[in-house]
Amino acid sequence: MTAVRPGEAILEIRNLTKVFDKDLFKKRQVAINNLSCRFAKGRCTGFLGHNGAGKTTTIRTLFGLLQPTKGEILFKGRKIGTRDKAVIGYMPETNKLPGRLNALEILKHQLNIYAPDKTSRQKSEMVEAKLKEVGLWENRDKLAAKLSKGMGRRLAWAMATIHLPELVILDEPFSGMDPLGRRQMIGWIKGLKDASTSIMLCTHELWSMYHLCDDFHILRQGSLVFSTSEPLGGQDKAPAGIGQRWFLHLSGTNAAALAQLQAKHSLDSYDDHYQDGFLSKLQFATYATAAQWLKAAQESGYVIIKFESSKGMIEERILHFFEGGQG
Amino acid sequence: MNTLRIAWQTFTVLRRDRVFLPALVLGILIIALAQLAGQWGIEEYFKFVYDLGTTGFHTIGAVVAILWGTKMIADSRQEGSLEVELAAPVSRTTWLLGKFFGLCLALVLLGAILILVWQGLLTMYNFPPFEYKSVVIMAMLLMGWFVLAATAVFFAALTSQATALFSCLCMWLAGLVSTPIANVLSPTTPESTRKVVTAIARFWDLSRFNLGSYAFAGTFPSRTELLWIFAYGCFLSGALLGLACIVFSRRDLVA
Repeated sequence: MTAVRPGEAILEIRNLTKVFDKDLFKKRQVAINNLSCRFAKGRCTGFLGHNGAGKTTTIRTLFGLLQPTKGEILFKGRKIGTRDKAVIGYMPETNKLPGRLNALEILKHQLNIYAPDKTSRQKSEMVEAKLKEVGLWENRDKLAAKLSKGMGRRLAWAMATIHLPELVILDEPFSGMDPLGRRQMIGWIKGLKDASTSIMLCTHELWSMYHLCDDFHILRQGSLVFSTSEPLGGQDKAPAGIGQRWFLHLSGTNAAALAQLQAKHSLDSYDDHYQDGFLSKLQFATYATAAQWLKAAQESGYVIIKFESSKGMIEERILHFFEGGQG
Repeated sequence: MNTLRIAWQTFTVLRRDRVFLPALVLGILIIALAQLAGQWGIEEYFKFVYDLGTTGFHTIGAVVAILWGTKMIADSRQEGSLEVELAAPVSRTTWLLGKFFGLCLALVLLGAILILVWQGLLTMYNFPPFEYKSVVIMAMLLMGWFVLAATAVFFAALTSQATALFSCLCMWLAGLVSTPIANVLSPTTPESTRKVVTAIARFWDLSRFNLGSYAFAGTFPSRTELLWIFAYGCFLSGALLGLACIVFSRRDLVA
């Protein structure tokens, strides 16, 4: 299966295959099987799959840590090279930090390698700002080996983003973070999205997909089994992403009553409406608007038949692919 | 330039390694003991000091070079920092050379401290400090450390830490005994064996870097001879590093 999508791609994987050859201790294993997919510029693309599906192997091949058996990886239309890595940020699955260096030294070294043209003063300012942003300024002199797992994740995030990359690859960014940390992480990723940074997000936390991803690719046993960015029925337009939706069903209403309700409570407009007799089925893209309508409907005495999100539906759909289902 | 940045980072890491301080203390103790033994010994003081001192200096440095050389690559793999460091815009060759030069810097620091202690103790016994012979002997021993560091990096790039460590220790011992064995081969030794042993001794002879025996001899290698020994050290280090870079750049680094 090939995911192709009109529009500019920052990263393109073409027919990538990675086979770990048989040796004395290991069996021959096909880790990635003829994988082709694209990651659109300025969008957040989820890269999903069960354990061992080939996500991390794909990333490692991208960075040249593994040699591909077949296929190629293009960055901005050219075969990816060492220099291209200067505008890519990488946050690995676990905290892979040099234990005997402190946060300050690690980030300074990172800037020396990724942004050698900046002056020493600029680098120092960037490091200070980043450490303050991730809440590690107080622990800047602590060796990485002595940081807690959550702090290590923050430092890994800082390393991946301090050089203002064009593409950020996040491999399980929420793992090992407490609820507050997760919320902060979501905020940071949203910040990157707002800055039009392209993001490749590998995660098992499906809830994060609703909040963050515009597109997603699903891998199973090294092959792409589903992609939201593949063309539908030959149409030359991209289908909608995987954004979460909220549904509110109200009884005893019609279009006029809804307009009255909206005007009375100065409500934002709903995204979709379907009228079934005296049952109004409303759909919202944001929770805030849905919640406003819910409150207004309750205050006006309308009967709430249903108020739910599409979360469960999407999660079921993704799991369906993990378990071997077809689109 | 990136090679130097990686070298500096490696130097910082090694300086904080738990091996550094014990190695330094042990080195100082051996040198001090050599001086004391020289005082108590029935043999000539100078001979005793140099024999024991240079052997201690060489051993400490060799063990540390092998340990660090294998450990720094293995640690990068184990803690995974290799993955992050190579996800940066640096080639594998740059990374490996940076690691080697960082290791050399750390060895120079260790060697410099030990040389200062050595010279300080000589001064205490009214010997002139920083005498030409003495400095050259130490510098050549340092060159021997670099060769062993390159050997360690070569094996670490090729295999796991345990195998690399074992291989390096074998290579070190082989390098020390190759020439003495070649020199004492019995006339009845088969010609083919003689050829192999001589070839090994010619190519892999670490005893060339130990000039301690010249310290109390009437003669000392000329500048040309010293230059040849230096060139030999550079050749061995370069060859091993070149091979390490070729191997390292062509294989999968993480499973």
